[in-house]
Amino acid sequence: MSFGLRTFYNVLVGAWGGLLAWAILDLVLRLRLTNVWLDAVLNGAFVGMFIGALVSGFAGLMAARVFLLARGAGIGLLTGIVGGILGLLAGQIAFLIGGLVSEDLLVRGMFRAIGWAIFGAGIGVAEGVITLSFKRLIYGGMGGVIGGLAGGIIFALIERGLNLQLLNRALGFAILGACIGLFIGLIPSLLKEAWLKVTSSGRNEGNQFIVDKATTTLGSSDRCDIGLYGDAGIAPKHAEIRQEGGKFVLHTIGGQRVMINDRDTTRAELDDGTRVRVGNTKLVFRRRKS
Amino acid sequence: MAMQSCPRCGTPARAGAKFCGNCRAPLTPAPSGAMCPKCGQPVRAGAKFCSACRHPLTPSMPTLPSRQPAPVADATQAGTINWSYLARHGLIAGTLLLCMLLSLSGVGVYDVTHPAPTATPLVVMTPAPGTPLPPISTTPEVIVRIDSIGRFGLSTTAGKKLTFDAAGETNNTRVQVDGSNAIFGAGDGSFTTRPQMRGTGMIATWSYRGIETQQQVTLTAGATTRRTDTMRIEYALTNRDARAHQVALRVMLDTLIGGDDGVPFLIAGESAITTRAKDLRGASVPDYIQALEYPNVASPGTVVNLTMRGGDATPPDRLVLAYWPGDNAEWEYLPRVGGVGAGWGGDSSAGLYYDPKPLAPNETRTLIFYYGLGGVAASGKLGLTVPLEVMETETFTVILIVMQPQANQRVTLTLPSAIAFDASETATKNVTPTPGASFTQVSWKLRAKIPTNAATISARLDPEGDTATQTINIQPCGITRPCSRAP
Repeated sequence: MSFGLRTFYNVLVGAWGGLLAWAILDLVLRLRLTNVWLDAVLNGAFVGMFIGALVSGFAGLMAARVFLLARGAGIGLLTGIVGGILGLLAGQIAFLIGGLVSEDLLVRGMFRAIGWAIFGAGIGVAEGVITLSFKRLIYGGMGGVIGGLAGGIIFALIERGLNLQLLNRALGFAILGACIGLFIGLIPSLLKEAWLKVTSSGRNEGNQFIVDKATTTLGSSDRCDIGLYGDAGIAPKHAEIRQEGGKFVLHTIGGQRVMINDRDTTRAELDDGTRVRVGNTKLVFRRRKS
Repeated sequence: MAMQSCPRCGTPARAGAKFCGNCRAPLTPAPSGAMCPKCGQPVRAGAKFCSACRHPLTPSMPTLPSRQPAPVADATQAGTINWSYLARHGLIAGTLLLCMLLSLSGVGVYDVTHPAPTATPLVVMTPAPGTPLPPISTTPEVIVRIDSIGRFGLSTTAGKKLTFDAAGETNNTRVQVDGSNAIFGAGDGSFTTRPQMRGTGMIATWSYRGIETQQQVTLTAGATTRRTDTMRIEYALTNRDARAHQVALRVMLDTLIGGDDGVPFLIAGESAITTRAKDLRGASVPDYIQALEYPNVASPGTVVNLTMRGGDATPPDRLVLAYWPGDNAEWEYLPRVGGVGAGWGGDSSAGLYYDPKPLAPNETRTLIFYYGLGGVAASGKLGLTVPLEVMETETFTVILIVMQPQANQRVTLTLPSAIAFDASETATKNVTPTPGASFTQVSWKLRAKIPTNAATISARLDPEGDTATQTINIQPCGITRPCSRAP
């Protein structure tokens, strides 16, 4: 998927994650815990789990890759639970501290948004854990923090402005999920330095991949950073892009061939606008001018 | 000469060399399948000349058939739209978005059509200590009647009146705008919505001097009973004029229980029962006042509660308890009926005053109070009245009725760790008998600290040793729950 489309889907599935968690919590379980800390743990775990698993697993679902779906959803679920519990416990502490500053629920709600920011970070780092990319860990975490903060503030406003029993929390969690999804998609895409985009039609059409690791692998295997599927001309591990002294250099693996700017080769430096053809898939390399 | 370079170190190599002259790396041609069109020797990718015969190589050199790139369609030709791509993502995203909006709308519609019990559950007979409270009974136990101009009255389904007239003919509400006032529904104002049923309650909207007053009377759960036996009275005053006005409201209720028009009041926070006119202002306005039909906690008959604090209630700036001033009582009637301290004989009334406040154009001021049945947890000579459900951090008042009070008696309130005494309160208090009355009251202001569904408050009378207990819920407020109850 392109970065824009991915972000758009992130918003949608993030909102769905929040809504499903709400449905489980408030329609199925219907627990009203008297202990606020347990309440924070329960809410954090469920909302984090659903938003994390859906946002991180959705790309695999769209690519129809079982492994990608399982890995994304699994890691998203785990980081979501951990971030969710830590975030809401921190949020509860912030909420209590907020109570010292003001009795006003809106003010206390703003303090609570700090907790939602930590919650968002837990979901945002999943992409970095999945790709083992430190940069994406940081950027995703940043996106989660901004999204959680924005969602938390909207949550507080909804709590103040709407007085409906069910819709308050349903809408609050959905908007929270949407905000986290939005910024997790937006921040890494805004801060990216180099990326590849598929320009040919077919199964990989329109897909965009961030190239940010020291070695970014490309091939038809699920374990590659850049996965190009359904093309018989692409080996499981076809090539890798190495960052060599500020340059991006593509090396093929095991004697595979690629066409760089219409020339058959095994090694080439990539520049902004460089056309890459692997098997029957055409890509273009883009690099932000520094 | 040297047209080939070493793949490892990049040093130009001599034609035909097998190893690099610099780093000794093998210089075998890559098994790319590319070959020289003249001599058929494999050539290095990107080479301009064949390393064996020096034949010039063009980019369109032949390759092995399996490596032959097939023509590949570009995703987007200039000026064309990829319809299948658009359709696929449009369908998925559209479905996700549509289902989300439908789900949220469904929840919203359910919410609006199924209002939660609008309870400020404040006190009936207590369950055993430590057991959870029963759910709120939704069977109406009272009837609200409203007359053609919006006066409202209350009676029980058993036929016992809680206002002198079942349709409220002897109560009146006055709206004051910039110093002038008129009875709601009369005078030189006009109805925009005549009194009518809407949802679970009665609604009437009346405009006076640019101020639109909406009166809503609905049935709800009693704070001290958890039964549907209480009126929630809400006034929403909205300035429909282009300029600001000073707006105030006064509600006068002709209180009554059954046949007794002049019962004494128990005032939360006071130390004795009240049988004479009072003018309470600001912080002195109690959380609630209570009246018993029979002065006997073991069999109090009907108990009436007028609740002004707690939940979404708006405490009035002033509460006047006095002799009933008449159907069309003026705004300030206390001096005419004898002033503070005058007895109310056989006819008492309660006046709630909400002081003038500036109201900007389109601004709304909402005022809420509750009137209905109350509950007492009785044991021996004691009767304990406690709001049955409070929020964490909320302060609330309990009333203890003591029958046949004696001057040497003391009462002690014992609290669970979840509840604390409010500042300057003491656990033990002396009983002060009221001359001529068969009972008196003691009250405490408490603060809920820790959420729990079974906080038991117990009161003991010494030296007799009678003990009354009541169990209450303390609702948590926290990370995902609002600290105030929904109205």
